[in-house]
Amino acid sequence: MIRMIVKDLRINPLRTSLTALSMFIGIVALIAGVLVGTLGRDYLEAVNARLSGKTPTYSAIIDVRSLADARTTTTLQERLTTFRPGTASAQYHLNDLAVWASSGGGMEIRHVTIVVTDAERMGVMPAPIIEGAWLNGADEPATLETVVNESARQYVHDGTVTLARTGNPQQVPARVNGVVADGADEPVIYINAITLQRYWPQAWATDGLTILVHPEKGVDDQHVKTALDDLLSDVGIGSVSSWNRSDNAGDYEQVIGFLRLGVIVTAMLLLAVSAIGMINIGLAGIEQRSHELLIRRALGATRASIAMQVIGSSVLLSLIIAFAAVLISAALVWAVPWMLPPTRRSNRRRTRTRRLWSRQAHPSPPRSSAPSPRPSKPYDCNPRWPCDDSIMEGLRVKTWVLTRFENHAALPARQPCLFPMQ
Amino acid sequence: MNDTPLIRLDHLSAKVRLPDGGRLTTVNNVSASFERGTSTAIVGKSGSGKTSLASIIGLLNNDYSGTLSYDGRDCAAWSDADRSHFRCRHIGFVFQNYSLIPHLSAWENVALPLQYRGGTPMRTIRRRAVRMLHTVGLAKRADSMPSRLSGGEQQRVAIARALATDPDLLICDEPTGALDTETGDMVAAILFRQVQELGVTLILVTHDPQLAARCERRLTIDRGKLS
Repeated sequence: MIRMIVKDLRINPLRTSLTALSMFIGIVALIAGVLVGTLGRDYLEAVNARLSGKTPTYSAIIDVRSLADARTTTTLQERLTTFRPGTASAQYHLNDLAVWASSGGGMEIRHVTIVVTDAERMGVMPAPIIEGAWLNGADEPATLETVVNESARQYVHDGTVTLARTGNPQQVPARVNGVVADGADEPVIYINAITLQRYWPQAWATDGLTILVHPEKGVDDQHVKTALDDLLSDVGIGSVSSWNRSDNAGDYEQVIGFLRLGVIVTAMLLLAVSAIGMINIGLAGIEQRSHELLIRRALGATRASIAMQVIGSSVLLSLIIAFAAVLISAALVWAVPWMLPPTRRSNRRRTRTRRLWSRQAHPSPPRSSAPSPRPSKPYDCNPRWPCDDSIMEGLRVKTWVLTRFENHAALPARQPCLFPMQ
Repeated sequence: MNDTPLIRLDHLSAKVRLPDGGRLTTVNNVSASFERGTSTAIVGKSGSGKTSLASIIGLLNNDYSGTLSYDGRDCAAWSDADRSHFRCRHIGFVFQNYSLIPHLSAWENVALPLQYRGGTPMRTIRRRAVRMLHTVGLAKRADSMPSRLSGGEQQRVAIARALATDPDLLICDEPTGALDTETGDMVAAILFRQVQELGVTLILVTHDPQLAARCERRLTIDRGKLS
């Protein structure tokens, strides 16, 4: 029977091809519709998460007693790092910070958005890192460190940005860990709060504190609020004075749902059209072959075998086309993320080609006596070009063993790091 | 020796529905029997009911009244599958217009009833199909498509196909109707050889008196009535 069915498909290759094509288009359209809907939703969620936090994100304005003591701030940051009901990030209100930048012929203070925050912010408002790395954890930074967005890249010179305060002549260079795509159009500089308090205490004049919290899945927001209140009470900083949801998922969820429904309905209509076309062609084929089918009946074919033969060719064709469509769709699934805006994965490729800062040109910001720390995961440098000397040396030794070089000098030269650690 | 006739028709009648809603009697109270290994010609004018009777005997049409029995078994109770299986194993058909399937080669056409019978590997089926084509003198044209064969060759392929399953009954509906005299004689010779050598029961539907005369028995049908 299979032989007969396959033979049937070869009776009229053009008709078979056109039927297959229409069906293929229908299936791919359906899969593409679902794919676009799902990826579009993911993409919008990612963009929204950059701008206003993951869904859901709560903003807690803290009624602060005092944040002058460095130990208190460090304790708060450490407690926020281990905050159980979710991910929490502090944002300190410092209004007089600015950037010292060139303007026309000279240098002057420029007021840009400066966010004094911590490493945990990435867990609440994830932004793709375009180059370098994000801020380090509370106990790791050995220097005043910052991260800039793409618009603030203009203020970066030789891997540093010069910070200043309104009405104060002091200018402090701060190391730039990396560049992020935070979705903001205006320049934004993110400063590591702990490093600011430690290495530039004169600038540490906080007017307030906001803590952004993204609760774990299934955790009630009131439970999170209570836990945060307890944490603040333990640290002795203050209490939550205002608790609001800050992400705007509610605004776009309905629109996304409607768009996705529209895409899927359109794709299903396309599939229905191709299916109707296929049935139509099948019926025309049966009519055309009615004489042949009668002969087959006379030769001993049962009604069931005739039906199986007629339907079988369509089913076989459908299976082949469905398989091909699934393969194509899998390729689409693979390809679509490459068409989307930058992600960490694609950024790595860029990092290799765009080395704006060289080790030689990189100046030394204020140093501490602490040993050079490694960037923490997941906001690490590109693992292919580790910044730490010991890792690089390990790589060289491994390469030597693998290639059986006798002469150490013949080993590959050390790769320059985009944002070298001090 | 089995004395039961191969086929028995008892008060068989059949009607067809006309486009205007009326009903036309094609077979009218026919009673007859067909013994094994005999050849019978059913003759009559066009529209007399020859083909209708042949299709009922060949189990292609079950819309009839009366009794049709094979080997003493009444066919009325048979399901469509039973009728198909019986047709596949015991009845061979040869039609006037050859009725080969155009997109199958000669041997594939001959192989069709063997495929429907099932249980035989394709290689064996092909061997048997080519042997049947050899019987009708067309072994060398086994791979030819019907469009590449002459009318006589096509009809010989149709005969090979009808004989492929070693049927007990061969129903031929105007087998030489579309052939010239010489080719028609050759085809008729093949058919009658089957009766003589293999003991096949032959029912020959024709309006050709010469061909009918070669049969052992001749039945005339007129307006559905057999005489």
